[in-house]
Formats: sequence, structure tokens, C-alpha cells
Amino acid sequence: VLLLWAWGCAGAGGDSGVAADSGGVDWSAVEAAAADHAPLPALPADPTNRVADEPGAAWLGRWLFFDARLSGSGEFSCASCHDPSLGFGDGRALSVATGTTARHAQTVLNSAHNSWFFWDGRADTQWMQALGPLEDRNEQATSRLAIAHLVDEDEELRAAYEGVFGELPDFGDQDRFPAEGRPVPGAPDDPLDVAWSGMEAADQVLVETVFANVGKAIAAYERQLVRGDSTFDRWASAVAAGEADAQGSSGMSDAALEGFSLFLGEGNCHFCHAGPLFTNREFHNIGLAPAEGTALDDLGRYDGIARLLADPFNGAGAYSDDPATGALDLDHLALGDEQFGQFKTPSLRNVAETAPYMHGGQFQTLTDVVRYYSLLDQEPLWGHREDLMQPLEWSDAQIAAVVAFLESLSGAPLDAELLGPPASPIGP
Amino acid sequence: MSVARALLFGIAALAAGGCTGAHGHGDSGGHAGGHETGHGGDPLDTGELDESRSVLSSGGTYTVSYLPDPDPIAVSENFAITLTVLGLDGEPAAEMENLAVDAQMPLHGHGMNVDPVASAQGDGSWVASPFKFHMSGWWEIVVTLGDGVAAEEARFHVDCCEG
Repeated sequence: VLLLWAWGCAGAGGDSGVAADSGGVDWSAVEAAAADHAPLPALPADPTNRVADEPGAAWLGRWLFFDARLSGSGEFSCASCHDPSLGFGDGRALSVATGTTARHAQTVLNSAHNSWFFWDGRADTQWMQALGPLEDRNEQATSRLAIAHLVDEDEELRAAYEGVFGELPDFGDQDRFPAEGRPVPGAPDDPLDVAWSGMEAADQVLVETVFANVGKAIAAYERQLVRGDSTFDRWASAVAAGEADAQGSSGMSDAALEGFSLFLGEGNCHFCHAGPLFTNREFHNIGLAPAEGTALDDLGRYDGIARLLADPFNGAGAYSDDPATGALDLDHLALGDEQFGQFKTPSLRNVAETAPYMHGGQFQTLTDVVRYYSLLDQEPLWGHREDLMQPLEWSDAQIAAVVAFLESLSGAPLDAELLGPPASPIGP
Repeated sequence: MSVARALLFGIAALAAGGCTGAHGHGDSGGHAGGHETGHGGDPLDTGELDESRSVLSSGGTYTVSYLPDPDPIAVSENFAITLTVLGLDGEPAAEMENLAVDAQMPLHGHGMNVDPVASAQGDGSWVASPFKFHMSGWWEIVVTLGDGVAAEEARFHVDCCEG
């Protein structure tokens, strides 16, 4: 196998001139590492969402994902900031909907593999994540009461909901169920909070159950947004099969292969961008200064933990379909100065399609990103940079090689049907 | 953020180092492999770690052994450890009332993102969980036996992780 591999890689870097910059490459180690990063594994189960893998829920969720009525103004849907034509991101450093968001919008692609959601991990399930933007003043800016009424009053939507989740309560009594309302922490005089606080606790539960189920349906759709089978995957598969010309059959370029060796070697990228998702699914401080237009008091994971634990929609809460399993990850979270300025390690799959980059959209291109890791020419406002990171002082050719490798992680296109709403919320 | 909060966190960040020293695990000495500990060492150099699963505590009073579950440990996956504590007479130290556990990456300057707790099993053994090593490399499991001036430590080194 090693001989075949050596033959298959004989051209690596030969034409690009990159290999000469990076010195001797242990190609056998590169070959061995390929199996650590491919293929994309099966989706992990989400026991907190009983409809996570039900086709009817995913169908309804696809409708809801593209439905701008799930916003206060009627202008913005999930797809406004997670646009299928932009890698399920929005191409902006910070998102613009009802207002401007505090952080860059992450892609939804492959997000069902995540352990935590949002840059600060303030959601522990995919369905909990889906609920956040609905009520955020800068995003969709609607409320759980408004959504319950929407589902109740739209005949098709109600039928689709009841087909998945069972009978919907009657929200027609405006005295019991005001048109809009939600908790507004720290603002008891806010009309939304006043409306919500005036409700009976049992009625609040009815509304929140529908709200949570809307999130669960959206999550069921998002679980279908999985893109593997990248050039890198095909190359790794060919290597594993001992193919004589793994590069040729997969289309993995010399530069991309050289970039992978740098990723594994002096770049030390794989320590955090580990495994087949190219992420360890945890949080690190990489030493970035706050991005333009972002808050100076963004403590990242430190604040995310507090928000996660206080949120009734977390995986251990009353709306979880398996609170005991959800509690496993919540009961022992470390919270201290180490969490200052930490943000989630993003997956690198499909990363070439989801510019800009970083939690504040600090960088417009992958070249800018890799150059930052080479220079480390910023300092964090909070906490300290991960000690693992040291300036790499890479040449332009080495940076280009790593970018070529990252570009090889773009997966095969999704089924076109998944890129837009169905004709009706009711599935076939 | 309020001004008070900004000041609070500013002070906390400075106190914690505000730079490469900001972590809460104190001195990480006692590495059987002979590495320079703390900051300034090569963050990647795990060298030849002594990964013994049975060690003598710092004061020589206890022989402490651990077994992970599942075994082997996997990156970014929760695991538990069972600790067996034997006294000088070689018998289980069933009278021990306080035992604390933690783990850190001495050369990276951080610990775990979870806080494990240890529960006495009544027979001199303890079960501690959850642990999660979220990066590959040299991890150090630190077991504190007893409390106050009489406390002793046992340290286990792990080169995480295969696969």
C-alpha cells in the first residue's frame, strides 16, 4: 500500500512548487491521517427531538425554514441569513435582518453533527438553536405567541403540524392568548413581556410546546442538509482502497495534498479541527481582536454557558423529549476564566462556500484566515490565545496550498428539492 | 455590559494573566516524562510519557490506580474513570472522605470544558465523571486525596488519543 501511495503521490507539489517550501513530507503519516478525517459519519441521534428523523417533520420544517411569516415584519425567514445559494450562510460579516446581528451567521450545512450551536454554544440541540433567531430583536423578531397563532390560523400549516405532533390547542381566546408575547429578560415593562407575564402558566406551556415543536420540525429539515463526498473524501477513500492513482481518480490536486500535509504537520490545525467533521466540537480562544461593529463585551463561551443553563428550551428542560440524556452534557460544564473569549471550533467541510469567516466575520477570504494563523497579528480582548498556536510564518505558496486543501472539502451538491420550500407544508 | 461588569471582568482577566498564563490549574509539576511544565515549553512535545495507570501519591501514603470507561479514551467523547486507592498497608483506603479530580493539558495552558465529580463507592474505590479530552496530546489527570495540609496528589499522564 505504501508503495502504491508513494507512486500515487509522486507528483505532489512537483508542479506547484509548494513541496520545496515545506521540506520533507512524511507521506505515510499523511496517508494514515486520511482515515481520521473521512468519510463523513452517519448523523448522531438526537433523542431530545422525537421527530428528528421523521420525513413529515422535515417536510414541515422545510416549509417553516423558508416562511417569512415567522418574523415580526413578515420579511425574514431562516433562509434570509442561511441562504441555500450562499452555502446556507449569508455572505455577510454580520447578518442584517430586523437589525444587525452581533456575530457572523454560521452555515447550517452538516450542523446536525454539532454538539453545541451558535458561536458561544448557547444552544445544545439543533431545535433549540432554531428557536433563538425567531425571537431575537435583530433577526426575525417575532414571538412564541405570534408563532402559535400563525400555526393555529393557517389551515394548511395547522393540518401539517397536527399530522406530525398531534392535536393543536385552540389559541382563539385572545384574553388567554394575546397576539404577541414572550419573556423579555430584564425588561418587565416591555409590552411583549407584559403580555406574556399576564398569561396563566398552563397556557404558557401550551404556547411553548408549539414553539418548541416548530424548532423540532425545522431541525428535522436541517438534518437533511448534509454534504459529504468531497474531493478530499474521494481521495481518502481511494487511498484506503489502495488505488494506484488516488489523486488522479479523485481530482485531489498537488497543492491540496500539500496543504493537507501542512494542516497535519507544522500547522497543527488538526488538534482542534479534528476528525471527519474537522472540528473537535468544542471551544477555543484563537486570539482574535473584536471585529468592527461587534460588542467589546463579547465573552463568547463564558456567557454562552450561562444563557444555555438558564434557557427552558435546553436539552434537559421540560420541552426536551429526553431530558435525562440532555442533562448529561449540561450538569458538569466548566465555567471559569478559561471560557473567556472562547468560540466554537467550526467544521471545515464546505468552508470554501461560507465566506466571510470567524465569529465576527473578521476575514473575507480563506487566504486571509490562513494568513492570520501564520502571523497571529491580533490580540484578544478577553482571555488568552490557545497556547498551541504559534506564528507559522508561512510563505504565500504554503498559504495557497492550505487554501487549496480547504477547497477540497466542499461536498457534493444537495438534492435540488432541499434548496427551497415545498409547495405545501403538508408532506406527501 | 455595565461599567461595573466591565471592570469586574477586566480585573479578573488581568488577575488570570490576561495573556498566555491564564488558566486555573496552578503548577503542573510532577510530569514523569521530564518535560518542562507550564508555559514556554513546546505545546506539542509529549515526548515519552510515562502513562502508568498506577502511581504513588505525592506524600507516598497512597497507591492510586485508574481505569477509564470506555477504554481506550476517544477525543471529544465523555468517559468516566474508576479510581482505586490503597493505603500503606496495601488495603483499600475506605476511610478517605474527600477526593477530587481534574485534568489539564499542561503544555497548552487549559483544562477540560467539563468539571468531573468523584463518588466514593465505599470500598476504597471512586468513580469520577464526566471527563472529556477535547484535543489530542498530553493530558494530565490530577487526583487530590484528602484535604487541607494533609492532602496529597496523584497524577496520571495520558497521550490522547488513538483513533
